[in-house]
Amino acid sequence: MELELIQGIWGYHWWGNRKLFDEAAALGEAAAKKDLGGHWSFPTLKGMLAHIYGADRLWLARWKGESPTKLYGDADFASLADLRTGWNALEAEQRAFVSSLGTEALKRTLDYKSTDGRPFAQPLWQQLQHVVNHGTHHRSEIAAMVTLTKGSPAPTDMVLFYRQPKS
Amino acid sequence: MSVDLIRELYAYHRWANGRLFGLAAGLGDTLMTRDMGKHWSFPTLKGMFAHLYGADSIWLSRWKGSAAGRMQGDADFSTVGDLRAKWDLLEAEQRAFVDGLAERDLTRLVTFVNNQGVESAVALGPLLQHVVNHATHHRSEVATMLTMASGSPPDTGIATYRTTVVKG
Repeated sequence: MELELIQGIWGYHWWGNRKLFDEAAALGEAAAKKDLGGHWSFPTLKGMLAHIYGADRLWLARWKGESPTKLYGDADFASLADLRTGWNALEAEQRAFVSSLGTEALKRTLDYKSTDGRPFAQPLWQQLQHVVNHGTHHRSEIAAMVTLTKGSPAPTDMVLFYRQPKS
Repeated sequence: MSVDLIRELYAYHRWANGRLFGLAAGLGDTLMTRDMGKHWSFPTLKGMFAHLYGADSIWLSRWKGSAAGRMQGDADFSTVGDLRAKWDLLEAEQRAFVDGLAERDLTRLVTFVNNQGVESAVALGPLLQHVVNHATHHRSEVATMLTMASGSPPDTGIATYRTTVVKG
């Protein structure tokens, strides 16, 4: 069942991301670039979404055998619309990768170097879980930032994703 | 391997909770009960941890098929010390449950009624993942609240957990 568990949380990841990206986009470009304070991981909604994109892109590259030194972020995108274009392409690439996995691939230890060159080796399944968990941490910040701007966004609980009728 | 994946996810859950709860408790009850604004799911650090307790507790009851009762929260705990004592007991019970799981348990459908009275049935495996993900959402809020109260807390990501605690 490990494949279903991993592919299940990735289905959730894309669903949760889209819901919050749409919430941020609906506020408009100006609101997405508004500085909401130094106590957030990144001070703007656009910066937060750009960081999720950057981390997801970095890890996908590692899974394909590369160790990039650049972590994409806010400054790489002129607007939310610009980020969305890159996001859609990355998500399509992630979907192809995650759907192609088998049980053996999950157990395989993958070597990679952090952006500052330090070597690490961990099974792929741990890295796949990490990226979704990382996304949830920042989605929580996005939800609080959207709440500050216009009120509470729609919930993105994992159980709501699993309760949906299967398409 | 599915059971190992779930057990290790719960080892991470306990580690991240312990890291943040220890730091928050060190700030004292006054700071733990300070109202930090309405844009949080719960306005105080104590309320946030009480909600994590309530959610973990109600889901454990559902998995065991026992009467879930009502969701506990901030008002059920007189102090942070009171919450911590109950938290430690719940964590031990949750750990025993997770350690006792077999592969076939993960596909078992769990039927439950949510707090709006809606009945659903979801396999145990994804529900176990849900509880950790739910906590990560609120741990993120706790981390930001701690940043506001005393400065940025240490990282609680799964990659940090694997590379610095498990080392593998």
